[in-house]
Amino acid sequence: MIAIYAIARATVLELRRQRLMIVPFIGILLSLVVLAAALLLSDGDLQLQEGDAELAALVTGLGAAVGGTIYAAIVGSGLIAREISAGTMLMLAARPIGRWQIIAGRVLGSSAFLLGVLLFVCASYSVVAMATSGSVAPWNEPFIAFGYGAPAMLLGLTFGIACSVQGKATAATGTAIGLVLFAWAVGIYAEEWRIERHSRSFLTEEVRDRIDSNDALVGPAALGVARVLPFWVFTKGAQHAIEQHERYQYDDAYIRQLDAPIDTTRSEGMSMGYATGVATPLPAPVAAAATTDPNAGASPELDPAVGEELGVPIVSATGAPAVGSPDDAFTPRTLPDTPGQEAYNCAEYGGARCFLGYKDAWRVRKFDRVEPMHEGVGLLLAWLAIPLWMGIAMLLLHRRRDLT
Amino acid sequence: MTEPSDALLSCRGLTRTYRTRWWRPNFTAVDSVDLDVPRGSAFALVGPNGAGKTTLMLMATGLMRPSSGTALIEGHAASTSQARRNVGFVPEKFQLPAQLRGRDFLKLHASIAGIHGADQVRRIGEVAEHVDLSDRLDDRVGAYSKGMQQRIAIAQALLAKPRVLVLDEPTSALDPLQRKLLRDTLRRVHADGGTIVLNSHNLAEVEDLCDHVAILEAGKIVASGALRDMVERTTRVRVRVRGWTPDLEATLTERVTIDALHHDDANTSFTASIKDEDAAAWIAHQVVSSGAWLFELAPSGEGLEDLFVRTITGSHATGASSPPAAPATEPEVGA
Repeated sequence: MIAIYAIARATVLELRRQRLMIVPFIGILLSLVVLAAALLLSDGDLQLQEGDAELAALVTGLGAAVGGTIYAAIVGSGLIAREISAGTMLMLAARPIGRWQIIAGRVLGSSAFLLGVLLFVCASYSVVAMATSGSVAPWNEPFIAFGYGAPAMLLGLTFGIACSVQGKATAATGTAIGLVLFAWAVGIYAEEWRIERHSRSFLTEEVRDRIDSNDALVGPAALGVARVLPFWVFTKGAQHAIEQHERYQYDDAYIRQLDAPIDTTRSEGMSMGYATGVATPLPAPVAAAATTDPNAGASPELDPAVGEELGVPIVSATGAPAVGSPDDAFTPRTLPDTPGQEAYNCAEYGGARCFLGYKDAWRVRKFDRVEPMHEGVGLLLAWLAIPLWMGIAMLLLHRRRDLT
Repeated sequence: MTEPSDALLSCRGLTRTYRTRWWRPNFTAVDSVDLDVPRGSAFALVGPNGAGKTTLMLMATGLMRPSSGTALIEGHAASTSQARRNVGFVPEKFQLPAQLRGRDFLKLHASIAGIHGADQVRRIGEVAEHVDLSDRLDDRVGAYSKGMQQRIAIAQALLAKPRVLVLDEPTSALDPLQRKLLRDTLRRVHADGGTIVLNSHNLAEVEDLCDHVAILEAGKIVASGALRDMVERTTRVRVRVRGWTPDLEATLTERVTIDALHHDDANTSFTASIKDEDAAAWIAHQVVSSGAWLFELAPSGEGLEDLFVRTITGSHATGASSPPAAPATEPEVGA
């Protein structure tokens, strides 16, 4: 154990003085620039506008969950490969320790270093978010992002170390980054499929058939892969960070008090959030099936029986703004038939949760019970996968015939 | 031949084969090598480039898995922790982590070697003193010269007081002063009873430092043993004078045998077999007394380089792995 600690300590000392350290500071700087720009555009009321919030969320959420993971993979991929090519691995291996202890020490030291960097980035963002939002609400969001980002980064790190054992540093870096991006893509698809599956009960039969025909096999397969190798966490981290950031823009209490009907006129699914793994609105096939005519009648996707069950009227707002206009999606609109009554267009925001009437139905629906469980399982699998990948790296180093 | 019980490091049938393309035969870097390194010796592995010296050294110290054969250190298999407790290793090519301070680097290896607390501090001070780096320990390794990096690498190898110190080309890329400092360090280690195994292309240094040598060629040992037994024992001197006279020649031939007498425009040069240093001094005295000028009087015996060339070219000519016979010893001519 002392040997492992000694190697871990040396790893931290090496990493903290490397040029790679500049990357998280660039990330923080970028976030600050975005937030500062948003502040300047906010008419001085310290409230970020929708597009600004989305961009800020994109930068920080992606930065923490995906960029941080890629950064960790780069750090990990250099640790062992460079040591082998530098000849210092021979000096270590000539000591009376097992090769597995070398891996353990490197993982421990680099994990401590990366988690420290992640915590620093999250804390810095928290300070800036509080300052720019003018409220206390967002202070915990970066730490929730830390909770998702930590296993993601450590998984990226162990991916990198496992790749690093077998190849040269450059090849190992490329392979590790490729693994992370592949994991992210699989995770997005798996998450999409899972939400579609849960939201299908609220969809018309016609749309269900369309979904089934498109995703009969690929969806379950992706979900299976994402469960076995917890790629899911890579999207969940980004997803949660972005969702949380968006959510604070739309005060829960305000939405609850509104008791608004669900307007399903617009069902455009391809928002920027969708593309980046945010909890999706309607899945793409449904979105494509949705009307391109915002003035059409009630959306064919949503089963009116659902509305009756929820006790929420399903309406279609005529004269709704065109897609892409500044007043789309997130801005409450006045229904023409019910003067003074506003509706939220759920198609863009919140996806299946919104279809459930957001807050009230969320409590009673299966989705409410299942979703936290899925997130918990995903996180647990991610944490369990870290020692699994570390074991893979140890085995690969043990089997390596020579260390030159 | 070293008795197995006297050997600190012992290899039997060590072989390392590399797979190449499927349509090409496998490449054998080391071919069934038997090697015994006597306890307390300074042992050198020499051979042409690509002979397999580094591969053999790595297998003997458990840092590379052989395709077949065994390597033992103090009776333990070289790949085990017990064996590695007795080994200090310095690779040929290495680049120490530039961000670490020298002291941190030594602390890392001391901790891994099981040296902690006050013992660690004391031992780090001792090895730093040994390699003359005490005043540079708090500098970053990235600021060290190549020679300093080599010395701190040796320092890390000495931390655990290893029974055997293994060095792969320790003086390559060092300037003459750094080489001398390194040789002095290794002499101290040897004088303290340590066993040294090194491989080197610098045969003059090997001859200066080592008392045992093994010559490796194409993965096989073609000659090995105590250096003094392998190198021709006759001492010869090379002389160059100006003002050579027949009387001087007659005087010198009374005591020494003159070979290869050669006259050019102004100078005369020859080699002579002598019994001891007194004969060399006598030659100098006779030349000066005769009125001639003495330009050169230098040893010209067969050294390790001659042995190396003789052995390698001999093994190329015969294709045999047995050592070629040493040349017949010239009769010593005394006074």
